[in-house]
Amino acid sequence: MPHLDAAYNLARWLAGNDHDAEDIAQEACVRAFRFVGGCRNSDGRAWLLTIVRNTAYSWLKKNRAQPVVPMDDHELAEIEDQSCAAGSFHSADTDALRAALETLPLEFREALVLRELEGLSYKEIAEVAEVPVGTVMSRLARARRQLQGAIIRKEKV
Amino acid sequence: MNCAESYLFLHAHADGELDVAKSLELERHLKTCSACAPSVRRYGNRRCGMTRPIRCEGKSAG
Repeated sequence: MPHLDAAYNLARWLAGNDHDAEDIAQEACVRAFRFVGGCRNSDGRAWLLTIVRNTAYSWLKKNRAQPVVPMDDHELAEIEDQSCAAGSFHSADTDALRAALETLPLEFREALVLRELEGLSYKEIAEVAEVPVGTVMSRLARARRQLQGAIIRKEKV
Repeated sequence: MNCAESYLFLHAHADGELDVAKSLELERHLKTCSACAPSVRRYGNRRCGMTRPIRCEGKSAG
């Protein structure tokens, strides 16, 4: 099945661990096979990732206590510290990056994973996350800022 | 364009996702706004903030 690696990667970042990610990716693939007629574009990757995302969200709702709530704009701490070295996430090692990404709210994490790890366009991310392109733009900008903040906070500890 | 919009568009611009009209608008703002300069240094020149090594591969992937 094509794009299985992308499916697993998204599931892993949404679920937070390998075991649950395997379950989610597997269930998503079963659904994908069942609804393969629903895939209208030639690539199919965004379509499969949409199924993975929906499967993961249902799974999280059923199995995890934490509700999936979008972050409020006002909760965003101003962590843009002018004095800190530019672009910390470029110098951060992969473990620090991974740990920081885990701390982000779900919808920010998914936007970053789809963009940075899967290389989807904003339009494709909008399709997968079922939000307008403007929302994708704002989520990515805020997600990167939060990610950078998380890395800086960890470096300071 | 205000600084908040500029911040959003800066990311989209670095990602190669901003249309020409908005890019011009952004450039005009950045030319005259010193408050946005640190963000430009941080995000302006790169397409990607992260790298792929943290991509997760499942046992069944491939």
